[in-house]
Amino acid sequence: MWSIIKSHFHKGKTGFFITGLFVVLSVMMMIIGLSICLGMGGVYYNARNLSNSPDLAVFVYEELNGPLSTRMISAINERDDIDCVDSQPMLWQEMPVNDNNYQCTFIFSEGNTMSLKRIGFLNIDDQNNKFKPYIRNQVSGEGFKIYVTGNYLITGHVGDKVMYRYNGENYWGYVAGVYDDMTKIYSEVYYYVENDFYQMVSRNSKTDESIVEEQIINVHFTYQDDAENAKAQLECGKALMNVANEYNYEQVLLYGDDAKIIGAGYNDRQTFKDATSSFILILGAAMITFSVIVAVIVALVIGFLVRSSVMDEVRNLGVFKALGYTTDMLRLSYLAIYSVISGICMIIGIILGITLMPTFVNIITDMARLECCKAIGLNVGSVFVAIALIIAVISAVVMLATSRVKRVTPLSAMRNNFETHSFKRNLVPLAKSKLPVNSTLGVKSVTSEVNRSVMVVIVVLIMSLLCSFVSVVFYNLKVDQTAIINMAATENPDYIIGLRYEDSDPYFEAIRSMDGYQADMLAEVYCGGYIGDSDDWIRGEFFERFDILRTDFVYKGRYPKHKNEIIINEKFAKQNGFEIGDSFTVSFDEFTMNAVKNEYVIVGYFQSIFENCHYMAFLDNIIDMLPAEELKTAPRMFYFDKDKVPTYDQITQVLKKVNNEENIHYGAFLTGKARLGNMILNVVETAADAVMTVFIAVTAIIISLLLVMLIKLKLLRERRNYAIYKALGYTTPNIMTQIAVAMVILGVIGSLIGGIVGALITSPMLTAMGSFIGAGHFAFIIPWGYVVGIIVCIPLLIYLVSMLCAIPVRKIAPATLLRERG
Amino acid sequence: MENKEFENIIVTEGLCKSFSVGGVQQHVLNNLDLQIADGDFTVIMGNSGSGKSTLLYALSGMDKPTLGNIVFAGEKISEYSNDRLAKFRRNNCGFIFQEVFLNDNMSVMDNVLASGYLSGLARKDVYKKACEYFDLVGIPCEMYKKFPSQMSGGELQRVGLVRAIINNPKVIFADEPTGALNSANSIAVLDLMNKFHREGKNIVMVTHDIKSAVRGNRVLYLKDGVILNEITLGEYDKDNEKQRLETLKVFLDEMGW
Ligand SMILES: Nc1ncnc2c1ncn2[C@@H]1O[C@H](COP(=O)(O)OP(=O)(O)OP(=O)(O)O)[C@@H](O)[C@H]1O
Ligand SMILES: [Mg+2]
Repeated sequence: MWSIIKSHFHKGKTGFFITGLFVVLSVMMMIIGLSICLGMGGVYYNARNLSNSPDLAVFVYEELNGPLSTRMISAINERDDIDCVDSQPMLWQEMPVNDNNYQCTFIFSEGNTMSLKRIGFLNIDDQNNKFKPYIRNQVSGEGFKIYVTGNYLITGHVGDKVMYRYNGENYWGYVAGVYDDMTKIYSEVYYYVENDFYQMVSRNSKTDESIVEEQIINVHFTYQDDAENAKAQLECGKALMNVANEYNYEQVLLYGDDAKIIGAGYNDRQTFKDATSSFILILGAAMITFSVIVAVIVALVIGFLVRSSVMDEVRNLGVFKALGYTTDMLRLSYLAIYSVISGICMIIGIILGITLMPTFVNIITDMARLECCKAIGLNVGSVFVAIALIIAVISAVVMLATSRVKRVTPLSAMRNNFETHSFKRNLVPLAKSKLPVNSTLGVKSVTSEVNRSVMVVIVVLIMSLLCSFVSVVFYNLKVDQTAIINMAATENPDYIIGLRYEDSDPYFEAIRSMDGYQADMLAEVYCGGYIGDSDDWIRGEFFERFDILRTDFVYKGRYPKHKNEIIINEKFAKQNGFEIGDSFTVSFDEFTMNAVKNEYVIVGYFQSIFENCHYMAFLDNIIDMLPAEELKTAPRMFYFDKDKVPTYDQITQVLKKVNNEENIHYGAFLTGKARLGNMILNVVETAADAVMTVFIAVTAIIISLLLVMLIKLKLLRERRNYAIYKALGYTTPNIMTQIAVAMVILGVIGSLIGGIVGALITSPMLTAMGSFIGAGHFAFIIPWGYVVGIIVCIPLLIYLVSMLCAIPVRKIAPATLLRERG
Repeated sequence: MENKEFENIIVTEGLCKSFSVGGVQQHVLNNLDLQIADGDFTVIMGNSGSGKSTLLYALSGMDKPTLGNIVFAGEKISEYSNDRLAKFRRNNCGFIFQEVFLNDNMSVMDNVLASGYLSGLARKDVYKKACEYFDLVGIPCEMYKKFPSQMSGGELQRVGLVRAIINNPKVIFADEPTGALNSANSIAVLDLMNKFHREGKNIVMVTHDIKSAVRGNRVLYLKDGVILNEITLGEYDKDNEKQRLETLKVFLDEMGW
């Protein structure tokens, strides 16, 4: 029996190496992928501890320790699931456009200009704050220090210069670091500043009504499990809003019209979770999928090696049977070999998985710019799952592949063959072939070694399917983002321009007179309201018109044509039991929409993968709906002819001429793309590059290794036949061609099927997967050029690798080999 | 008889072949000069290990000599590269081995065609020729589709014969073609070889077996890498077999066989 193991080992060296490598890969990927996916339940809890971010932040618009917040804090303390609660002052500054234009503003001055209309200042040096955030990416620079949330890094950088202009004075500072606060990360108005600066603004607040002191009550719950914590956040948040309502009601009863109403609101981690969890989950799921695919390839390779070994060793196996060994004993000897190999490799895989986990998590963190990813730790269960998967795969495959041992009889030993008479069929008779001889012989070896052929086709098919899938995703994330933009429900104009003038119209007129101008309209008119008289909140965006939109939002139904029509996020519609054709009323906010109540008919669905938008409707009668102060600085979306889009400098030049100014006071100047950047697209883009590169490399490596193994094995098993071919007059290049042709044919079949199927199933598969993670209907553009590239490149790679691997044919000397006795 | 292009189909000058095994040089062929006349059926005999196969491989261009020249049909093949030798063999050499060495993954017809298609003739003609030869050696049409593992040793050697002559080679080389056959099968194969010889084929055959050796018209005796002696027997005929056997026995006895 030892001889079988030895001979198997000798012939399978390359095979063992590859199997081992794949086992290591599979185990490693499974551990990391599962740890990520299983770790999601506690990831935000850990992230909170890594960043000292609150679970719930309640904003109370009154002075520190005022009556409402005192009442709220005692309500919070009555709960039995509170870990920690603390309140913290915040200075809230409105920066209106005043008479002298540009009197007071806050500008981040790198890249896209962003000037803030309102800003919340928090004191980073407040030592009493139990929720003082941990700062990362710290740098030093000149001027006052300001700390931003990670979201800022999508368009800006740590170290960016910052200007605060107040009462004619300019104060310069810089972005000194990043803080992670899951309740504030997607909001652009909360900035931590150093004590000196904070105290200065605080002093100004004594005399300036546009600066008010407010407070934030931060809460930590005891729940480690994310779902439980989320439930508590929502429940507690709603309860506190009731406390505020009761308080205000009491005040009205007591003081009537003189009552001082105190506003309140809350942020929980939900928005942050919505925007990050699906991304992390997809990454984890991708790794698990990859691990399983590698395990399938392991199965195919082992299956092939064992089957061909059984065929080669019929004589020896027959002798063992004659000596009295049973089938099971012989099968177990094969299992023993693979158990030892995979055992060793599993240990390596586990060690690698554990040691690489932090590195990998850091890579995700960098790619995603999500510091909370660091909170993902190793999951012990994942180690067992990985081990179980490999053990199951290997024992199943070895048992299946050795089933032929049953058919080996002592007689097989004499005839060196199985007891079969018709197992070979001549599918490609030479006499019928019109192809060149070498190609025909290549084709023959495809049909005569069915096991090998099936394995190669399946592996190539899987790999090209994945490549095709990844390239479709890549194309839609990186090259042509139309589909993603459609899904994000974000319009993508050439520019979004906001100006900070008392009367901006002449400036906008100047842009309209530029060459190539197409159209413009108000941008980002976000408004929220309650559905009917319920307390279900709906938020969405108004458009002045739908006919010039570049983004094709609607994928079911149609766009609104009349003022009472609305399109709605399908996921939101489903949650609320709405369908196309239904109608409902929205009671809008009294601050932003002058308490308008409108009845709408649903005419279509769109989707909003980042959950930033529930509805879209016409902007009806602007003056009535929007406060005048908002309108003054409201940015507009500009559309130009495709090949006549002006640059920032060209637009600035035109604007400067309007009133012969040195500087243009932009409130915002964004390209459509930069705005999408805010939608995490940059993150996805970075990931797309990495994933695409890794996939192409892995595909090339897997296919190459497989070929190395197969061709080495083939040269070993068929060296006698090749020696005869040589004696008959076949040259080394002839035989190399035969080997390469066989592999290329299999490669073409595999990559053709895999490439096309992969391209076609991408959108349906993502849609199916998306329904679990909350994304909706995918309609990715299929880049057929890429697919054809894959279908052409894989066989080409196969041809090159096969030719390289077949070079040792040169060394086959007929005179030496034919001397060896069978 | 065909027109003789060359007086000697193969000529060797100072042919040497040595192998180094573990750094030790073993000289198998020593400065061997040999002429094989066109039209001969040459038999090479000698003790086991005397270098018969080595000589056969060198003459047929399957192996390159360590030193010396081989001129085959006017071409100095000892200077050829491996691939050029392979192309040379296509139309000049046919081979028969003790173990037939057919490719187990191909039907017997395909085994023959895989060789025949290298001749450069039209494929239809090659196929026709293959059928003729199969008929000649007594392999019926039904067997064309069989795989080597489904045939007897005698049948296989006859397929080997067809493969050897399919390209109409100038010389057929045979290394103990009857070594693995019983006497009836041996006689059939040898009869065919004599038939090919009568039709103009050159044959160089290595054998241990006197009954096979008498089929040739020239017997060389190899010892220590040189041709110790040789004997010419004239054309073979069934009737003169006994007498030839006697003569050969005497010769071999002298050689110390
Ligand atoms: N490739 C090789 N490497 C090393 N030694 C070799 C090689 N080929 C042949 N020899 C040696 O050369 C000698 C002659 O071998 P060869 O096969 O020619 O003998 P032979 O006359 O054909 O013997 P037999 O009648 O047993 O077939 C032997 O001693 C053999 O060991
Ligand atoms: Mg020999």
